[in-house]
Amino acid sequence: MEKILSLELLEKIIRMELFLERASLESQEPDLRVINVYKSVVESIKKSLQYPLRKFRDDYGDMEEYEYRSCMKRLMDAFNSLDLVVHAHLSFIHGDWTLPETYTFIKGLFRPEDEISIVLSDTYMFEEANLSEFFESQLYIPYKGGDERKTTLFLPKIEVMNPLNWTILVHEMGHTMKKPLEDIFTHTEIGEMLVSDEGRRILDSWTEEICSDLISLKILGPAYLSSFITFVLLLGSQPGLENITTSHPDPRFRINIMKDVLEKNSIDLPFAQESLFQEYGDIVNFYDHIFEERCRFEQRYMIDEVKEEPMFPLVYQRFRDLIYEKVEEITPEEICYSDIEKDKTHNLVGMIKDKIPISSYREIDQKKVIDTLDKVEKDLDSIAKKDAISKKMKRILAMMKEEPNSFSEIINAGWLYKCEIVYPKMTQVFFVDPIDSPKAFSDAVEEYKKEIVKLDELLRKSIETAHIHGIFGKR
Amino acid sequence: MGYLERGKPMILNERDIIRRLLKKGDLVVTPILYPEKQIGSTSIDLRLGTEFKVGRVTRYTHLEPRQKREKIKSDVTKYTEDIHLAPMEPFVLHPNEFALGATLEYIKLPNDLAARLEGRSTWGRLGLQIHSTAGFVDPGFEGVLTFELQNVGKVPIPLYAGIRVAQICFYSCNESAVPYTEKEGAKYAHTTMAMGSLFFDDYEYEIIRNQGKRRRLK
Repeated sequence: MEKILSLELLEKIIRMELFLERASLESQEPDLRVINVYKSVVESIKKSLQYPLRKFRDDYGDMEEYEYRSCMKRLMDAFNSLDLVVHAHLSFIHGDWTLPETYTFIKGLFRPEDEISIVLSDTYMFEEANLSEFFESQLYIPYKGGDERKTTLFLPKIEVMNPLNWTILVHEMGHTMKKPLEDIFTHTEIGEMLVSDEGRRILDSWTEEICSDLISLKILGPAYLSSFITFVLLLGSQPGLENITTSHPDPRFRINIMKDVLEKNSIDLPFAQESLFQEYGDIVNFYDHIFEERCRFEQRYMIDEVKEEPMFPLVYQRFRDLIYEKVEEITPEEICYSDIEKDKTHNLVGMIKDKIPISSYREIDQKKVIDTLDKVEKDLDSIAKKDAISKKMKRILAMMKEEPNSFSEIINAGWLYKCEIVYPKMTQVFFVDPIDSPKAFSDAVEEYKKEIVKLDELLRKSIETAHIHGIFGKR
Repeated sequence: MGYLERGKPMILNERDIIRRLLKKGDLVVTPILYPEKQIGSTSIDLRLGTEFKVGRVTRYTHLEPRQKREKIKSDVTKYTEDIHLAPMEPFVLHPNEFALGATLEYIKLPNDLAARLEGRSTWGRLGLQIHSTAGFVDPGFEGVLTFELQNVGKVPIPLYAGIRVAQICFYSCNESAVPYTEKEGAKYAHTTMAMGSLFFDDYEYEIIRNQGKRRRLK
């Protein structure tokens, strides 16, 4: 588990470097000095990873538990420094704006006519808000934003170029598609347990999160699950993974329910993506272990009243049971599961390997086309067959048409490529191949950077081209 | 190739093009949205992509190639502004203006095909030129092709991503031993967007930079 976690963390560091590089290309001298400070901080965070990565190498041998924990702690510290300190202060520099492809992606999956705004956020969080409502509640002066809902999605700045994680914006869009959920708690044990407004609010909020997950899962299939897992894999190092919050149920439950839903609907998770579950499970167990130890330690000092207070876990347990039971009811019927064909996805992965954008796909009876071409060539000398030749050529050309791939197919192929190709390749680079100097380490990071940039570019190009294909490919 | 005599250069006709497009790992032009309209008797029409680069006014006096590579790269970036169109949003090229654009299509040439990029007369009649000097594509090239768009007419021309502005024809040649992507200094391979000039990566400029350094040391 530590290897994928390390690679994910390195990826975020690289994304931060790329963000800063783009910012420096656009900046003049005094601002460049500011950006350079950020760059040097990020460089230090990157360097801090050399030690744990060396210990995680295949040739290092078994580690003592304390050693392992110390390395994991270093990973957590690195991510928290990147996220809670550097990313949180990106407002000091002028960087990217949301790309048009991100809008194309979200509008293409939802309602193209809607006024959706996507804001780049300094907090490493994906969120959805109604900006007018937000200002109404925050301003010191009276302000009326109007009745119309102005959906604003928040995308973390370092994810601006990364279509694989735009999938989480789909979850945020899911919040705008709320369906009435009150009924599911009526006449249930949990409904009677929690009678206060606050209790109901918590239940609604948890259910809404699950509902948004299920919407994203229907739209994006396994790709959403993969991005969710890697997202919480990193955030796991921050307080919250082991705990349920009043707004979100715990990620492990969310992941399990999504996996169940995929299985029930016979949507396969390719082996490469399946292994992400393993990774996630391992890391949760690791954090759980730490958490349990902390609890045991804290119990010694606990006073009786505190011990009696948590009724919360019981409610949560009932909630989980109820959701498992009523999962069909809370899944919006109007959205259909995306059609992800296994063979096609694998072919698209092959195209990515060849560095070809995957905006479209041609399913063709190659033999039929070649045979017809042969016939045309045989008939070329005969003037009498001129009309027949022209008809045959028209047929051949019609067969050459490519169909645009759906955004869901593109993103799923992207995720599969990442799991099947990028992770194993980079595991080899960082944990097997010799890295015996800081220069070798920075070369390895450079290689990873190239992989990330290339995959991002191909996916963005594919999304945009598929969209244009949809417009001009119609007859 | 059974249907091509080795050593006999020729321009590919529509049947040759189709055969090569169908052969795995050979010629790639993707996406072909509308083959009946796009594949001509000896060419494929190419569409305009979404990214443009236009020149902008800066406070710099000139491009100084004797600076460090990163600095000159950053300076070149400052002279150009990236314009990224949303689908169905027009980019208006005014008379006498110059911009870089790119094909919507990704192109991959095998080692025994060269290609030539040409404009379409439909647009040429309005004064739109799609390249001024660089219309030739080497065997082994992979990526989108960059257009050097220029409006030499008298009316502003609205351009949209997805419209057919150019055509490409293919020439068979004997297999190249060093295809474009394997060539030392192949700067524009595997691109997916309009690329600005990387003249500073030419080996001549490396010599010029080094000479400059030596002179300063003296």
